[in-house]
Amino acid sequence: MGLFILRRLLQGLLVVIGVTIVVFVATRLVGDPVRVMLPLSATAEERAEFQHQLGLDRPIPVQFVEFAQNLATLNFGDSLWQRRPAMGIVLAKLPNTLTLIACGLGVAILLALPLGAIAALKPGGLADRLTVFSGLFGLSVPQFWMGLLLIMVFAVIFRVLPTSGIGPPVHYILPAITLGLPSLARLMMLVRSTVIDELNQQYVRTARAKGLHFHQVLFGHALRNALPAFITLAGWEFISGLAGYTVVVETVFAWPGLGQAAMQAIQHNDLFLLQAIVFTVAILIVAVNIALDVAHKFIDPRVELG
Amino acid sequence: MDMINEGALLEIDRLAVEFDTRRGVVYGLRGATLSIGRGETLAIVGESGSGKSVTAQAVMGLIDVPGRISGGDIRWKGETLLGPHGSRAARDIRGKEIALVFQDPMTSLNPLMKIGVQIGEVLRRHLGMSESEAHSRVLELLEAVGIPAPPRRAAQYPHELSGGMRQRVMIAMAIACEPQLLIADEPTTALDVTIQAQVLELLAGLQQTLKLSVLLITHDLGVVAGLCHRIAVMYAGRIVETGLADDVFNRPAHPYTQGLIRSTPRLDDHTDRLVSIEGAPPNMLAPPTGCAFRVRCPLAEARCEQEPPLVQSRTGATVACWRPDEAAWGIPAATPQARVKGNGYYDQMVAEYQPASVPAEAAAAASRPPVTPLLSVRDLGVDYEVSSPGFWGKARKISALKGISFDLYPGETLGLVGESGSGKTTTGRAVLRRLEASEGRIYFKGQDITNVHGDELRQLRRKMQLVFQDPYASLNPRMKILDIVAEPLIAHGVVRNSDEAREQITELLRLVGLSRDATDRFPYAFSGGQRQRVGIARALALKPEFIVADEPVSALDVSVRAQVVNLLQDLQKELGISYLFIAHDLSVVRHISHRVAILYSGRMVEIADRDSLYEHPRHPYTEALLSAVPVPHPETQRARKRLVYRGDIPDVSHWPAGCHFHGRCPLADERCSLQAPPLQGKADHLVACWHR
Repeated sequence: MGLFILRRLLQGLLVVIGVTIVVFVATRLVGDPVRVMLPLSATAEERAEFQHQLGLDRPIPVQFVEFAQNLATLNFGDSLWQRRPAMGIVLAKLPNTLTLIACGLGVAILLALPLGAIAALKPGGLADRLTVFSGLFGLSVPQFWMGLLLIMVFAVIFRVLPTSGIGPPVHYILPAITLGLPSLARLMMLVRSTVIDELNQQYVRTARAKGLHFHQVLFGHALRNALPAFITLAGWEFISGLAGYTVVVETVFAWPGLGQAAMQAIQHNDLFLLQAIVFTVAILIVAVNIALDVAHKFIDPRVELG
Repeated sequence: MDMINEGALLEIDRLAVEFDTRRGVVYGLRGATLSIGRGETLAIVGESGSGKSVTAQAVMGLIDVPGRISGGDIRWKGETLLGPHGSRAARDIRGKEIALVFQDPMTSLNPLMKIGVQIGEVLRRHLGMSESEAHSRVLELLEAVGIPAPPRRAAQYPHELSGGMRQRVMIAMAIACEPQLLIADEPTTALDVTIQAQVLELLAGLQQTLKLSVLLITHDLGVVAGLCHRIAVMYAGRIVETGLADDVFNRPAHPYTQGLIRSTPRLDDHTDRLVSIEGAPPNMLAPPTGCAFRVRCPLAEARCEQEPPLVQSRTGATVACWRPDEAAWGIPAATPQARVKGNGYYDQMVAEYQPASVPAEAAAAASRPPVTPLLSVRDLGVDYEVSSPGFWGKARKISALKGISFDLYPGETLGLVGESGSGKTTTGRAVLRRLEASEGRIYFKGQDITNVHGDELRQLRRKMQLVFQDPYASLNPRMKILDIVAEPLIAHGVVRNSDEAREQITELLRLVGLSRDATDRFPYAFSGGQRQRVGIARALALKPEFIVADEPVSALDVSVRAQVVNLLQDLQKELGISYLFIAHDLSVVRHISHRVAILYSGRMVEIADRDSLYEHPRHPYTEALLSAVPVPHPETQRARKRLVYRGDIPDVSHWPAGCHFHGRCPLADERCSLQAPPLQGKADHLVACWHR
């Protein structure tokens, strides 16, 4: 196990380095931050001067060497837009995003297991139809629209919840629901279909032939065998939340998180901040993947860790 | 209720089970009546779809939507198990007083749960044991079912155990609460024959010591013969005959029972032709009225359209038949039935075949045929590359087959027999050049074909064809029979499209016993036996000289199996084709083969003429294998001595050094564990053993 984690960490390091290089090169090819930062009236000399200050006039390989040296100390340079260390901004915003994902995805996970299992008990029954219908609804409604709708109903009309921004726990409710709803739908549908499959397996017949109580058969046997697929998808939900969906939700709810920061960094051509964000997200994704593999090994003894 | 005896443990009374499907109601059971007494072993015998497994499931309360019990009653010690009150009582009886062993041990255990916990679950549910009490009882149970090192095994997961071991675990689970009735639903069907022998011995022993009643459900008459007091024969959801085992075997009263027994090949008998019951078991969406067997029955007459009465046969068995005790099946014809001559293409086809080969009879008669072999295999070996998981996993070479040598003569059938993992399918595929040989040579008509490629290989493939095991999976469900059979002809440029081949294909289908109108239908319209005929027609289309038949009948029901075996033999007699007949069923192999080779764990251990191999086996493994095959005849089976060798077949990735059998062999000494014995002996009987 230890050896496995070590090997996976090395692999993950390669992934992180690869992603960082791609972002490094891409950001420098796509746009010129200087153009955004200086007023339109700036002369060519002023622009060149500013470029020189930032070190952006040097050849890309030279820039990369310096970048790599700074990387060792997690120094990504100062954000061009906020004029303070990029990594500092990331570390300040990251907890907001992680707690938001934890709330949204946590509720989704807790609800998906029982709802999916109940639906699976009688395929085609009332509970099942409701599950499938609401699942499809949750999947097909765009998040930005869902977010706006929730704000409209609960914050504007009924005035029971805050419209946006971060604060005491009530502030978490709407963004977490918006973020978690599609995940809940996907996870619920997955639990439903895997539990239906598992309930038709021969070992479930064995369990029933043993005279076990129904809840023992469902929870002890069928649901347990549905877990490997479930945690794979849950992990994917976490990653895709981190890497994408929070951008939408945090924008809609003016949530001061990593997604919003990424959005602003792109808008301002803030390549140093963008690099720091991508680097951090890449590390988190690699870590989640390793955690998933280890969890698999614990749930399913047949899994071979290579 | 005079049918039901007073002291019966379990009574099944006119039980009916129906399944609501999209295509209509499927009748699973149509009024089955049965009872089993204390300490009795009763076998339910029947083919697929006869309702035998449904009976077991109904008793265990495992009939699920879309199935439902639509009539009749199940009583346990006189109390009903059906209805709201009955179901509640049934849940406490299930697993405690009545226990079930399923067919497939590979899928019947929860893969994510330690086997000790799975067994312990029953004890905690029914006997209220604590975790530690249950654990120590689990160890006793594992010991009782012959699992070595119980503490270690109890902590393992199902995938770490072999099939035989898993079935022992299933049995341990079943006997955990000392039930009074054990229902075993095809308990050994998924196991290899030497492992089957171990499990049957275990069941018989447990029945004695625990005074169990056993309800054995099987399609294999051989398994029944040695084990059971009474037999109930099922057909189309009803029980057609119930009687004492010896009586049913010796003087079967129902025509179906007679046909079933006569169509089962016997290891101790080598009549060339089996009785086959024409037709196929009925479609249970619309079972025939009256006697369901009448459409296949040679004795059928007008009154059979009425429900037959239950009568006593001469031997005292209960029979549902209008004409019990009459001999339904005559002595089978020694020659193939005369065929209706067609448009001449068929005659031409036979004529084209003949010159290429000597008549089968001649080849079979001479122990050393005076002709060059059609196929020669010398020291054939096949390695597989297995990659280990992960990004940096290295590929590992595993030797699946080593040192295989044999000859196949024109018009001859060589039976290739082995248990799972023996390499018999690998051999077939390597010979057909569908798999690269890692070592050794393959000669076809004296020409070395080990390394031919491209066009040469394509030409070669016209001469060598394959018949697959699973007639359901090997025909494309979206293609018409015409297109399926025409495919090889088109692929090899004989015809441009299927319509051009229509006449030819009609002849081919006639040759395999299918009617003309089969051409434009799709595979789903055909039964398993008919599909296998289509597969054979497809293999014959290119007029091959040699066919590899890989378990061609093992997926078929007994009565249909005989039809296909007979067909293969007829085709050989008429066309002079050679077969490499790959099978695990030694009884079938004895019927069809001229010579037989035995494989064990990727090595050939013995090859000889059929009769000398079956009468005088020399390798200890061959002896064990032959003795393990049950003979479908009670007296004979009881008199046979069974050699049951401990241990499992070694896994392909962990083969032992030396002779692969040495771990299980009673003759083994140090030399056997170090050095692999070569295949040697008199020319017509070779054996790979240091001691024989």
